[in-house]
Amino acid sequence: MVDALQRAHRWLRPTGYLVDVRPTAEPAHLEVLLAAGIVSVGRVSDVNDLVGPNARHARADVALAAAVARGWFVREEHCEFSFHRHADTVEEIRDHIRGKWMGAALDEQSLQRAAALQLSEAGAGLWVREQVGIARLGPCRKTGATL
Amino acid sequence: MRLDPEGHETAALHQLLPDLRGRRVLEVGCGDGRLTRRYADRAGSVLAIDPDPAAIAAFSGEIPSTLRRHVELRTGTIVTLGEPDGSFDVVLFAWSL
Repeated sequence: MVDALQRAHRWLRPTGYLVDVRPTAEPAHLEVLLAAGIVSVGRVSDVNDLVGPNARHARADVALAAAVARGWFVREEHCEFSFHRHADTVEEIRDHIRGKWMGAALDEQSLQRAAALQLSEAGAGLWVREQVGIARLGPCRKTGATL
Repeated sequence: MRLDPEGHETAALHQLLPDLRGRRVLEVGCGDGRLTRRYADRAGSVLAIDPDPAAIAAFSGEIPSTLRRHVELRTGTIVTLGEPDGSFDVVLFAWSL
């Protein structure tokens, strides 16, 4: 990751900038939208510390901090937003997590609770919510630091 | 699965990428182009790369005609990309760092 950031630094023109969009290290939530409000029924967890999404995003935070500390970039702006993956059924979410999220797990108990809540109310919404950060960093030329 | 129908990601992108006119963008990890479609029409040109040839093929087959002229797709990674220094105005890591 740090190597990728160094390459990005080299490729940028002095007036350019780096943009990093990705989920934060906060686990994604499985949520059901009912008339009374949003109910969080579970979290997407890492299968293990090496390949899970939460650990991966935490490592990216460390790499970005290292790139700033080495003088390659200066942070300019940052914001966060909620990214929702809407589904019609818990089976759709289960298949999505298994097929698309490397090293992630969503326990069956949470899925069953979500299904029960969804059945309890017509029109109930179902989604996985991720907290996503987007950061803009400018290249810093004054140090010429390398790996 | 419907991804971000609320448009939160697009709004955030527009906030942090306020002016892309005439700018050359490198997007790292473009996948099937979901993110690319949200900003590329405002950029001068985009080089979008992804290590998954199937994703690049899918994106290439569905790229809107309005983007086809100024979005170049390549299978590869940031390690294999051979571009000279100072080639881009924006390097965008699209859920890929």
